[in-house]
Amino acid sequence: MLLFQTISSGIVNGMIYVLLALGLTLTFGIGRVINFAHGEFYMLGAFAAYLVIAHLHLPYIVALFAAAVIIGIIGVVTNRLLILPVQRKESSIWAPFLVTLALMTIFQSLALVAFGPDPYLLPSPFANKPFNIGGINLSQQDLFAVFISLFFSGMLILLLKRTNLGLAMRAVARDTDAACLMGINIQAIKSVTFALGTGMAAVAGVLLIPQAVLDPYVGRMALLKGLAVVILGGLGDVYGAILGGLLLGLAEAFGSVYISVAYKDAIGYLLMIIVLLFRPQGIIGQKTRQG
Amino acid sequence: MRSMFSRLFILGLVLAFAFGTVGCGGGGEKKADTIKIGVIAPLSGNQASIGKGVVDGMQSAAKIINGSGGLGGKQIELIVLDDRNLPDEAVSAAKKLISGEKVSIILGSIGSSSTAAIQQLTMKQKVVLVTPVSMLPKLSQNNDQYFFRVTATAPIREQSFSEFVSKKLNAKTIAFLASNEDLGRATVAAATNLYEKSGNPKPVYTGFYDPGATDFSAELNRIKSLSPDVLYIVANSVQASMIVKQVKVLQLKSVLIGSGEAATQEFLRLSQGAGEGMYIPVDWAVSFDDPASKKFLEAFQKDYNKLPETKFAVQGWETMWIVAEAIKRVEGPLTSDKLRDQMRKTDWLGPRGKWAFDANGDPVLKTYISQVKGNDFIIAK
Repeated sequence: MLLFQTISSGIVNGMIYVLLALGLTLTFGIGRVINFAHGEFYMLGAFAAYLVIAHLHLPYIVALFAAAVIIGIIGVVTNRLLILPVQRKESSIWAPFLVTLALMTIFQSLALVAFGPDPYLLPSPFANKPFNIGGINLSQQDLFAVFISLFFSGMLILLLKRTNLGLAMRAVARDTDAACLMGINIQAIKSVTFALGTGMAAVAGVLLIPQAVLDPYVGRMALLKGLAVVILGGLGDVYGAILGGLLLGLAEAFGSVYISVAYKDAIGYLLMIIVLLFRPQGIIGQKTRQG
Repeated sequence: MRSMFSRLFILGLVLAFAFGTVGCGGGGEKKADTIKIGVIAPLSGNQASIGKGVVDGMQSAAKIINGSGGLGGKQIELIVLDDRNLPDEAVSAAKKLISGEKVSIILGSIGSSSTAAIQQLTMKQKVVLVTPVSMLPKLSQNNDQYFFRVTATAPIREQSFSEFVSKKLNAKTIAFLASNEDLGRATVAAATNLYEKSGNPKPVYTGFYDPGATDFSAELNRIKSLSPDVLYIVANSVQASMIVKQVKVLQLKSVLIGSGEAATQEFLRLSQGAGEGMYIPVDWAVSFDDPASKKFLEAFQKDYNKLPETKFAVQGWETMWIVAEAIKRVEGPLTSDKLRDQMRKTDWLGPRGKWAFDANGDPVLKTYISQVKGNDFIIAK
């Protein structure tokens, strides 16, 4: 029984990691930015949902999508104003990296000023309600999170594989110059990518925070987990992010149940280092592919 | 954009100037007739509710003392700094107080790790350090002649708590889920030691989680598979609230007991009823009606128009009084050595009982067991 319980807990956490990592891997693969402020979009997403619920009195599910849209817009504006301008050919590859690093601190401080340091509760109708199936105990929020995460992963894959926009995004990811010569509006594609990436971070926040508490510092964990998954799955690889997320969730669950809780976070990073040593292209990436 | 920035800049300048001048003028004048007391406590971060409670209690006491003429004609001036429950912030606050404000006494901090960090400094600089809350036993075992604590140590607390767990709860097995910090480890070590000696209840699981953890499903799944009679949650209010909610979801049937840090209104607010029935050791509760407790409650309600939200307010109140009584007894100019000698002679009756310190600076204190019932902690006895 413990085995099945551990597997289900691992999958639940893994699916949240997938959502976190998809946004991060997308902005890297297409936007060419390792977004160190990703965790802050996750945190701001949860605060946006909190405001929508507490002040507009709208239901949780509406707040979830509202947060995705609000943060997506903030993401696009941030990208346009601060990241794209430093991504010119002649500027250093470090410039966008440093900008997102600065944004991480700035967003955190702004949230601290706006919301204060005390923890908030993000109410959800599913949070902390048990759901039992065949002796396995999960919360309804867990189930809802898995469902939403599957939904967004599926939609993203459909978008990338089945639409012209997706084709353009993949073209930009493969070769920006060639895509530009084909008449693709690179800036517009990057903006769409940023909206998707940050919006998904916000969704992850709104899904995960109801089982914890919300304060301006919650983004740190989200960034670290997201980065670990992205490296496991291969930078810019969407399927890799899905597999990597599930792998990390399961590894943490099994490690902390059968080895020791004290190593829970270490297990993820150990996996990351092993992958970097032996398969730097990610667990399912091909050797020839250039990040 | 530009005009907003320049306006902000000017506003900043004006504020800096205003505070700067007030600071200088006030400081210069006051120097002669105030006694500066440094206070370090977390006013933000995950222990903020305890920090605020303690500081509120101190300020209430200082107000009464100052209102009745101060200490030998001098007013008490509390200089309160926030350490966010981070040891490095606590150290920089202590440096500011010792070299900047030239205090001879610091009251603080809350988190044991922060207090331990401050102590490294106060011990060297011979500054009296009085912690209102920190329970880490190590603090009073450093041969620091200038250290006092206005709370029981973790092992002493565990002594009475363990009797309750084995006799009243009749527990045969116990699991520990504790924060991987100094106090978490010390508490579990003390409790495990006691239970192993008595053989009842038997410790079956010990898990130390990361102080920033928010998901405890792996730990709780493991605990559920062992189905212990009692689950001991050694955690601050925020993490304890997340743990009890996840315990509910997993439908873990063990009796919940918690460490003293969770005896706060914040825990009740964040746990949303999931902590109902949990036992937590405390040394004071709002329901106490002895004269000293009544005096405290009256003063506190007058100042803040509400009942204290945590029992930690009384710890701040008592700390302030004990220190004030010691300062009152000091003859001539106040020095750390004279203050330390007078602290050793403490003999004062507070809400939590008679106060006196042993050679290590530890008091003797009675522990009560409280139980979470609705929106309150009720003394279970």
